[in-house]
Amino acid sequence: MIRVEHLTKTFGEYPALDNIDFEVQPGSVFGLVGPNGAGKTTLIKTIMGILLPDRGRVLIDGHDVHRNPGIKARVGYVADDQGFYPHFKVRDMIKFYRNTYVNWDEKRFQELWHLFPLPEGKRVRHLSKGMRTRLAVLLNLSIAPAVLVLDEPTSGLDPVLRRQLLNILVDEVAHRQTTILISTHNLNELERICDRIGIIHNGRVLFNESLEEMKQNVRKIQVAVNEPLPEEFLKQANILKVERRGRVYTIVVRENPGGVMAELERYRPLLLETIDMSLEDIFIYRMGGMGYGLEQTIAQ
Amino acid sequence: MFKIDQRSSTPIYQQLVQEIKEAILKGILQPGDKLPSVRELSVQLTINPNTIQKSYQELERQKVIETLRGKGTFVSLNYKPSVDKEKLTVLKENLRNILVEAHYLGMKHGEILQLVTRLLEELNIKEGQN
Repeated sequence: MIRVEHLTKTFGEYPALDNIDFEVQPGSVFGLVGPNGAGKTTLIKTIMGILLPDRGRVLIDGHDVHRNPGIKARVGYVADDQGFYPHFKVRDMIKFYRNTYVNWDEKRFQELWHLFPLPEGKRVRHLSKGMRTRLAVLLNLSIAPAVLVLDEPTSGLDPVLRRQLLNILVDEVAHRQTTILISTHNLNELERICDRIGIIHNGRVLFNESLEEMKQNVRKIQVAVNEPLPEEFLKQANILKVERRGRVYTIVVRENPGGVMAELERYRPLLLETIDMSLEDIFIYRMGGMGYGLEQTIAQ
Repeated sequence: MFKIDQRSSTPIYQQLVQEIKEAILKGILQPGDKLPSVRELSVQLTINPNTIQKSYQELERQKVIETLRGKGTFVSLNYKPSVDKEKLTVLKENLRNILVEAHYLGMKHGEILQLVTRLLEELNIKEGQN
């Protein structure tokens, strides 16, 4: 399990992490999303003990990462820019991990090698980005990690490999109850594999909710009425956004969509229905509701 | 074999509950059949195993499936599928749309009732019968 407490980090004047608190329960998958420069990688590097926080601490299975670096033997880390020695050959990199990590699991490695074969004799610097990611995943799963931290592991992978990677991750959770923290830009792939999602923006984690809560609460309602809806009705606190085209209103509701639907029934609607929203839509609306102009940054 | 739409507003675990019930209703899964393990299904569908676990727990609570320790999860032998609420909601919604259309075609209240009565007679559905 990962526990982040009051984590704060500034680079000069720039607050990269601003008093972040969250927890990743054992055997669960936590998805971290946010636009470029939001602080995702800084947060991950601090969790990994690579960067020192100005304030706060990171506990992995109860051990402070910065005080007990030994705990890192049980943490797998797939970095955005893998810290491999570029002149090493793939086989040297494997040997390096095998000799460094006390929990190295040769059987697991052989299984994964079978799934993800790589050219053993190639130098790391000659591998493509996707191949380097594969090598990193392979090595970090072979150390039998209790916690696995992945920084945008799917970028640079083709769709087949991406699906294969996600499958390996869910299997890892199902089989070994590994705790996973994963950052990504691709919200749609998180929907299937995450228990909870946190969105990071300007160094703060804004939402930390289960996907279910999120999907149940945020709804888009389409309603057509003869008489315009009263202004005060549309000004309710739980209404995030209203768009009107002629008789048709599109209303995005933050919570209690059932109640709003029931109220709308009273205006004798010609049409009243809810429209499904993807996670991406939900985030964009919620961020919009918070006054963050994120429409351009998360939507791809 | 189960279809999951991640864009739907229905949580994934509920979709899976529905899908499994539907498979039983259609006879694709029959009483006594073994269901895939949580691990198998999570890899097959690329879905978080905790979500699958939650669906199985819900189905178990509804007595649709049962878990035998060390043997696996099976479709209950005495599970009788019943018309479920969600389908009824969809049906009601469809009927409503048809009525709206009938109204726009200029049908009067009485005409609609007459039509329904006649159709029920044609289908030989009598009062007090289901």
